[in-house]
Amino acid sequence: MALAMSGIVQFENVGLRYGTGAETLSDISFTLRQGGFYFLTGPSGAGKTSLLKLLYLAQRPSRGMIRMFDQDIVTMSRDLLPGLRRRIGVVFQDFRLLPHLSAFDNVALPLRIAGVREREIYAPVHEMLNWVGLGERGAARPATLSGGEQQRVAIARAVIARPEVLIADEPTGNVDPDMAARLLYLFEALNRLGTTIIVATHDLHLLSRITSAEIIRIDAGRIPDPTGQLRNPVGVKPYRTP
Amino acid sequence: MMRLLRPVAGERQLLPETRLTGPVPWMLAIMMLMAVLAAAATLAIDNGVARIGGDLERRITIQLVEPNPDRMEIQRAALLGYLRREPAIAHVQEVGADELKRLLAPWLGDTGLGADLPVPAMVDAEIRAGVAISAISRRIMAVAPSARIDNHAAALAPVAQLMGTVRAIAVMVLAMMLVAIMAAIVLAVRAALDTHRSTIDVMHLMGATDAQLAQHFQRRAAVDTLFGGTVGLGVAALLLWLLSQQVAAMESELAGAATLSVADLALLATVPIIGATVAALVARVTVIRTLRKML
Repeated sequence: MALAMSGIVQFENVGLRYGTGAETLSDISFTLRQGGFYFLTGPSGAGKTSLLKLLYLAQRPSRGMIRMFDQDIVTMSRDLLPGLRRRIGVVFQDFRLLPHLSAFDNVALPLRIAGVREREIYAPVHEMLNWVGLGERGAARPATLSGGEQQRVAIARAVIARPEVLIADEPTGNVDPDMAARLLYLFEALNRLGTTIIVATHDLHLLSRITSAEIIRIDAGRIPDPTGQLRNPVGVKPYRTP
Repeated sequence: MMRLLRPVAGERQLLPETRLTGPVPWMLAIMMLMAVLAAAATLAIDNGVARIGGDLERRITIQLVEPNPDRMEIQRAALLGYLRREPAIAHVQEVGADELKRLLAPWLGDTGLGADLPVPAMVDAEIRAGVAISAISRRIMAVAPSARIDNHAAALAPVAQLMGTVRAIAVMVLAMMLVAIMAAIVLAVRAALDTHRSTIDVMHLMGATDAQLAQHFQRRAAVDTLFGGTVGLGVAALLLWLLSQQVAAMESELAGAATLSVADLALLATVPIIGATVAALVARVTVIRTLRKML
């Protein structure tokens, strides 16, 4: 299959195996273009989380080729990975907030890791907390926040550094419909600014909300469409690989 | 060093800052105490050995064992005359009759020290460095045939050998303590890495470098070791002061030779700083080697 080399993410015949077990992912091939909005769907155990791990560079594949930001991830030196990871924002399904930090400090973490000066951190973090409705809860530790509040902190943390790629695993699973709509609006706003968005979800309602999004459907560790062409929601014009 | 110990606000936020609690700083304090004592023993013995090899080794004591008082007096005068003229002799000290009686009193008592008791004449001499004692001995025997010459170096040889052995043991203890301190740091850092594994994973995924993460652990190790080292040094200083008081009370020239100079004390005072620096280095290497096993 011919892959568009202009894509921000390119998978070609990627396989992932944990230990000596069977392949969790097999022959995964697709290209994500810069500025695209993608939903990753599939039944539980289909391999969504494993695919996301490859996308946010928590794993390297057992075989195949992955290119991100025009760089070969498979053979890349480990020392270069932090630089790429700073260009990716991740919303984990289990949030993974750091329990010893306040909501403010959790959101500020990517900026601090990137070496942003302290005096340049307060304003954007405060603004982001306000955006997700937690402006008054900046000093709260994660343990004192509800599941929905933790999820919003996780989302704020993922987007605070304006990543080029945003990966979100079930980002609206714990929030009410109003907040889900607000978060989707945030994702769309980021997408309009050029961020490539990849959202793993089971939420059919969510799929229908973003009409411009494309869908990557994964089943039993494979993308069923043998051409690798990404599927689009019903009624939406398919995206053609250039 | 101060940059290492005082993180900027942002760095402080990366991993949980633990206080100086738990057994590690206290374990380090005990190890640093042992290390300081071993280092102090090494330095003091070095000084003692140098002193024996210097002043005491070049000393001789000459006894004139002559039953005839007249001949004794002739030989004593000839001996003192020769020793005072001889350029190879740095210092001459005749042990007077009163001093000899004081030395003999514990064995003979006051009543046994009558005027008719034949007491040998005794002279201490210090030979200049580089001069063979045997050559001086021959010349002494020529002017005072009844002289018996005690070479301090020969008498002190077993003591010097003992001090050398004790010094070797002190060096070995010091080396083992340093290895134990490094091992304790490695174990503490590995335990901390396990404790914070999930936090480290998240930070890695956000783009934290190994060096950023190592910075925190090396700071923690440096602070803990500096604390332990300061406590250990304080206790060691107290023990060394008590020991020095007892040695001073002995009025023993030999024991008094094994003392610490101001330079030695200054060197011992740097032990916590050296320990903290080594601990930081060990922590950094340990963290980076462990993190390299992760993606």
